[in-house]
Amino acid sequence: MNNSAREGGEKPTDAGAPVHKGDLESKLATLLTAGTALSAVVLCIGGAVFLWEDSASKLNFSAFEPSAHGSVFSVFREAVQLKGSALMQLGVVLLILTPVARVFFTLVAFLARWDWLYVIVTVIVLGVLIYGLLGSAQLH
Amino acid sequence: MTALPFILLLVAASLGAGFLGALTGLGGGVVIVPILVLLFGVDLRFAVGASLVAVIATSSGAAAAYVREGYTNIRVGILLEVATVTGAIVGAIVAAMVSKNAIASIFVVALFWSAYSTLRPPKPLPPDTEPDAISRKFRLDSSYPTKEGMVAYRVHHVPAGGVIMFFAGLLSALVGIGSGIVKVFAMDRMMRLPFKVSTTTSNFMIGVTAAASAGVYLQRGQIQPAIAAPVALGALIGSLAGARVLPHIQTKALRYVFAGVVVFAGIELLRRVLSNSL
Repeated sequence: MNNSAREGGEKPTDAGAPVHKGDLESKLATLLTAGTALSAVVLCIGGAVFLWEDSASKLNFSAFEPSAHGSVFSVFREAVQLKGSALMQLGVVLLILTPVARVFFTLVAFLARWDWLYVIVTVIVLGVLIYGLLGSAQLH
Repeated sequence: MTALPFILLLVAASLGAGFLGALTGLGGGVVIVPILVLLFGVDLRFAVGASLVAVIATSSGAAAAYVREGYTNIRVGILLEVATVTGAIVGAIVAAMVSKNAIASIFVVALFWSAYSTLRPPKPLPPDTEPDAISRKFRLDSSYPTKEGMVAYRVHHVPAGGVIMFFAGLLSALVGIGSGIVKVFAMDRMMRLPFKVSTTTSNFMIGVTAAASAGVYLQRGQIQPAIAAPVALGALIGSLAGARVLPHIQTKALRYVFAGVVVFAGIELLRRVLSNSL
């Protein structure tokens, strides 16, 4: 059913796939593991510091009141002061940034291969993500 | 509750949610919101924010292994992510405009659908070997490892899959779940990817989808670190542990237990919506 003009012939797999399988996959996997592990460590430290600061006060979140740590940049600034809640939020932000970093890394890989179609696709995904992270503040 | 038991119990409950979520293939997100709202008395808006962060954690943790093993179709994932992240941003915006009762009602529907699909897994479809123009243009056809070696497959109905993916992203953002069921439905049923490729590619996309809406929620102050941090940590550890024991145990009975919990949570949430006590 395949005509000979089709790259890859009978197997639909091999349209540009050899470079793809293995190399990019293993790098993406490493990136995801590193991002999650780093976040987990920061979450643990943040939680421990939070409890060490004050483990006896009551926590009640039955009414919604916007959290004080509400932007990516301020979270990094506040975490430097080594407050428990700021460190926990830093861990949370690192978790959110892990898939964003994955998309960014995929973009670099497509750029390196001159795969323009997927460069465009990835730039759109990355643009929407960055809008969600940074640009959506004026919506509220 | 004081801080110490609150944080420790949150870690423990999320650990259980992540563990069962990984074993049943449903993901932990679907039970984290009910746990937070019904057991810990957390406001729904904080619960959705925390659940999204947990969904990102479990997705990234599991995706690493699947991607390395070569199941995930990265091109299909990236292409459909255009639709899911757009849906997620729209969902996060809509979430601020609708009432808590509306969000909880949508959640109840998602819970019942989850329970149903856990108990009635869809029958495998025969592979569709017809070539598809859009799939060819985007070079989506690929192959995946099986016991008999690498098996090639073709991808179909990309636009229809994209439309469903938009709604998967919307649902994910509105109620704080990964929407894996909707994503797998689009890829397995509609686009005719092999089931294993559908589930792993769905997992690959879930983290990016949830990151889009989590960004909006972060800026809106819906991500409270004292809730989100222990929940994400517990769910991550639980899901990694679940993935490790999965090959060695029978999950059929577990599916019934999990579906029972999900239905119970759905009924209880519905009761609170109807009595206006959320």
